[in-house]
Amino acid sequence: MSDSKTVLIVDDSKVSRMMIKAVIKDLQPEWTMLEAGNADEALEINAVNQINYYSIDLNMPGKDGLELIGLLKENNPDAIYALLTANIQEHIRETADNLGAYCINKPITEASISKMLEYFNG
Amino acid sequence: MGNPPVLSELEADLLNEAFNLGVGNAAASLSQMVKQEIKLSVPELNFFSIEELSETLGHNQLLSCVSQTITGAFSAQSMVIFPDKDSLEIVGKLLGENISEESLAELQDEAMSEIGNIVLNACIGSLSESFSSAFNVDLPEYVRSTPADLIEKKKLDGESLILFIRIELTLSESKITGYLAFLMGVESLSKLHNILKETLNKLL
Amino acid sequence: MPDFNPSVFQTICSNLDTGILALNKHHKIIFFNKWVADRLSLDTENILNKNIFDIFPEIKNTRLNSSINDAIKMGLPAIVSNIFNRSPFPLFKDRNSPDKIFQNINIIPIKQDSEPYAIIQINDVSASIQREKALEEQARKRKKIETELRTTLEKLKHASAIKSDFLASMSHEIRTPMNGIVGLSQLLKKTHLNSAQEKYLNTIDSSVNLLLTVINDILDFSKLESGKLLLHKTDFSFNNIISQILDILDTEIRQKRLNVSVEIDSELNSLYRGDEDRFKQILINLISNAIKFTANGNIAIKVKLLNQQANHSNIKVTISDNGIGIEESNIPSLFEKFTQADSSTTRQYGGTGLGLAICKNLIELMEGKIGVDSTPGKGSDFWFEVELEKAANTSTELPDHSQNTKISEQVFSGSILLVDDVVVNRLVAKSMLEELGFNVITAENGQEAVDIVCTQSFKLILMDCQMPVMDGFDATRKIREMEDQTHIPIIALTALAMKGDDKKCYDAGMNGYITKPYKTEDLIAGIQEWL
Repeated sequence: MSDSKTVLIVDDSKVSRMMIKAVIKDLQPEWTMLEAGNADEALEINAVNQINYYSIDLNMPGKDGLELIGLLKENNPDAIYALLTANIQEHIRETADNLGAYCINKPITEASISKMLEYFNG
Repeated sequence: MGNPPVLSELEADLLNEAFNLGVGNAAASLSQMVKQEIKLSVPELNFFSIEELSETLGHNQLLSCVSQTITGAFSAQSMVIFPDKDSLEIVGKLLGENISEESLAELQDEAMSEIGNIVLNACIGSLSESFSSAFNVDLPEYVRSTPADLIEKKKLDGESLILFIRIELTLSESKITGYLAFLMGVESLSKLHNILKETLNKLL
Repeated sequence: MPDFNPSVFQTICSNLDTGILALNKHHKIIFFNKWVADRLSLDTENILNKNIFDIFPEIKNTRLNSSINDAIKMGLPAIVSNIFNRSPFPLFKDRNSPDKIFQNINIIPIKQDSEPYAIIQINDVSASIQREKALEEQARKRKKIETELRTTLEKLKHASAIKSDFLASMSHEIRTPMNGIVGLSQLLKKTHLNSAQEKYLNTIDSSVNLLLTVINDILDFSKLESGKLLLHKTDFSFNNIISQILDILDTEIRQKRLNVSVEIDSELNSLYRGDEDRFKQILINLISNAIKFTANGNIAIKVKLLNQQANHSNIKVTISDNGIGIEESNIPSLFEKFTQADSSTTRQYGGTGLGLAICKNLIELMEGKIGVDSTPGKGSDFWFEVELEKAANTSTELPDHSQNTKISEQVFSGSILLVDDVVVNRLVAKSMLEELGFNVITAENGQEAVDIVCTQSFKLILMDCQMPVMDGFDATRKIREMEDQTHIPIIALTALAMKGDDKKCYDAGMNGYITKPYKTEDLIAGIQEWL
């Protein structure tokens, strides 16, 4: 039995969200996909839904991806978090590690999203 | 003045995201090079005429500009622009504390060329990947000038439009505003628009 | 290029002063020129067709690495300058040298038959880096010197400030007891004295005056040196000053039976603007020198107009004597401090040796010139030139100083509050004022003064400045605060005589000031306009 998982995709670029959804739809068609354009929206959606996996863009206006992960983790520590960014610098990797989040290198391609899904699936 | 293309929400999004990625890459490269934390973000993207560009930058403000000509799916003069005094600060911060002011001034041009090259390459590379299209790129040229002088010297065509992108560089607690500018003719702009449409179609 | 011969190309490449490496899309080295070969420490036979990252593992994961990738994959050209990384490639001055060369590298992507290649161009910039280092070193040294200079300047400023403070407090310390001596000897003079007592008192008097002169000279000179002397401009006439001086020096002139002649150009009879007291000081100095050094004979005082422009007159004053004269060799040091033409003259003629130095400084402060022409045995002409503005008041009427002497015969009335912490000072001033007819109430410090003012009204308050408990400035401020419409004139009695001291008085709310030590006439002059 494949339990239907829910993934929340957070990215300020609509195109990016569409691209990520497209790959996930392809590889994990039974999953429910939710999306948000910024941290505040993400927090709202998170409050009323049970989320298993998070795909979070680092560079967003307002609170950035790392801050958001911190806030979400308070509520949902057992979920799996992925941080998407083109700019992986040492200090970012360290912070993500400390938060238990996995860094995925942008650009968004089938390969990079597959990698993220592998990570979600354990 | 030629009319700026009217991009749909998704087209603008795609273009913005391409620059975000490019600029993110540039930050990672710079960071690795100087072993410091560097943040580069792209808050804003606009289409300006030459006149509007000159006004926004300040007709007589002294600027540090690195430019590379690109040809391919569309043609443009791509540029990275920083106010000259800020570029001195950038170079100083990147090189560390031990350099005297005189040396800094001497190194400024060369260092800015390299930094500009890194940023432009990253952005052009990102556009290339996003649009699955190759460009021919020239070696960077460095110039220190005011917009007023540049316009005169390069005899920039008043009809040209500029894809004007404000970028923010955060480097050891200083926030410095710089700009990316892609100077294009009307034809190139419509080619850019087309390629955005095509890419979106392929994706969705 | 017509008739392009590949071997010509080889020759060109071998002789370039630049390194060239070419890579194919697999990052394999397909070409390198002699310049590169000469600077590699490896055996160059096995380099061709090998992956550049295998041959130079040190460049892996550097900017050079990613730039090469980008060039081949995406056709992006790159500049890798020496600024952020001195020697990306392991290249040396020559095969056997341990010295790495500093490099500027260009990576140029090209396409040949639709295949991507990368050309790596390497330039040796070691020489310019040496130059830069040398300039750095120079800049560093220069900065060090600048810092040292700045520190020294700070120290000098500090030393100058200490000197000024010293002057100010010394000035006060000296003038306060002097005031006592001057005042009391005046009082003594008015008592009944026998001839011996009178003689002694006169000697005390002239000693005191001499001491005052010396003290004033020293203080003046210090002030001039520190640039803290201010000139006060008033309307004056040469005629007037010279007559006053000749009055003062009358006794000596008669004793020596000297003939003194005065010639003033008729145009110069009007009033001019300048520091009258300082001109008096200079003229007294020069004229009394002339008297001192002339055994018998003539002294001529001439005031000439050199030229006239609009409002400015160029004036020359000459004091000629037929005294002992001065050796030519002694003239340069004449106006220096502490020298007299001949040390034996000091003993014979007395003096601090500061007089001429002060005159010189004063004249120079007025932007004039001073000098002397002399023939030993025949005499000397001391002169000074100065540019003066005519007084706005074109009448030859002067504010009448002769009023003062008349006033001392007047009788006054009313109450005066006298505030001073020194017993002697209170004694002296009280006597002077009571003689003039005033009723005098005294206070020992500012607080007492404020308390008394609350309960009594006065015509005028004489307020010492430096006092314990509450000083004169604070007391004045307090009194002004308490006043409604009545504004009591408050005159400062101050031993302070430095630049800015008068401002302190006015700022506190005082109406005027009298400097210690003062004589009765000075006291009257200071208070009369406020009565």
